[in-house]
Amino acid sequence: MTGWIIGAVLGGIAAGYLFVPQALAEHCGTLITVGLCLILFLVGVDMGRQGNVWRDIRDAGVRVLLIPVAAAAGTLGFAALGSLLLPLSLRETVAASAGFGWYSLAPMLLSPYSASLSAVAFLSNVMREVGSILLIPIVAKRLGFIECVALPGAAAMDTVLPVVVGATHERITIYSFVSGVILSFAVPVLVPLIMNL
Amino acid sequence: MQYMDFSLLLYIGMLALGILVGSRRSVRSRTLPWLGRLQFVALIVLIAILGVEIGADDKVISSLGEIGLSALVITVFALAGSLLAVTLVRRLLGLDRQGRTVSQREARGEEVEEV
Repeated sequence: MTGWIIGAVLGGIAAGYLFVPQALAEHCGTLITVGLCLILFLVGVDMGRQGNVWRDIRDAGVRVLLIPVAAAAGTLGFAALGSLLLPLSLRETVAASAGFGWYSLAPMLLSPYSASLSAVAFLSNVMREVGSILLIPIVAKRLGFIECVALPGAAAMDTVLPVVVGATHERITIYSFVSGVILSFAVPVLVPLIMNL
Repeated sequence: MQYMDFSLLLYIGMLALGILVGSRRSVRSRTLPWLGRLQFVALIVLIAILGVEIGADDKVISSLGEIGLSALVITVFALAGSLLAVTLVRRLLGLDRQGRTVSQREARGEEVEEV
């Protein structure tokens, strides 16, 4: 599983860079949506067959909401630490990290402030998505299932959701979905807020 | 993550549809060994396409040299910080490594393992 996932993402990046024509690459977004629909349907079938959906939601309860809060706090707090190593200011570094992996929105929110900060936010959030795909199978085995939800940030609700569920358990779908949705809504609020502090 | 518009509703709808189909007695009574395999193949294809999209994006490649290191430092710290915070919260909530509550483990008669 781990090897396949790492091979697929790295192989895909290499193929996209080296030989996939631009005309084809433009349709990736559509393909990803279709693929996600298929996988989410199949995950749903699995959940339905196990018949624990409502009990799992009830058991997870309010604690589901604490996971994205912790993921956000950890992201911003550690990004603040990281700014000590960087030529960027504390505020710029934390704002870029507040994209939580949403690499199309965070740069747009930051472009009024500086083009170079916008580019850093774009690249670091792309890296967060790729990095989370690479790390999820390892974190699932070594650390825990819930921790996997934290890695992709906002993408835990869509593109990286199948990776989280595939490496962990159908039960984690709820955690992943809720965490991704809450972090997604936090991005357009937090990024301008941090820049205006 | 790239888009958030009606697609979130679409994804929730697909998941709900799957749950509905999976809950049917005729579906539950079969073993469906291909279900897991199809899911796995679809996942690998999806991840590869995600990779292609990123690799084909000129903005990613052209900015790597100049700001790649800064972006990487932010990413590593963001990933590490969210892992640390969530693992602390998980332990505080009493969830085990598989994300189960004590009652979930007991309800299914599974062995209670260390948190």
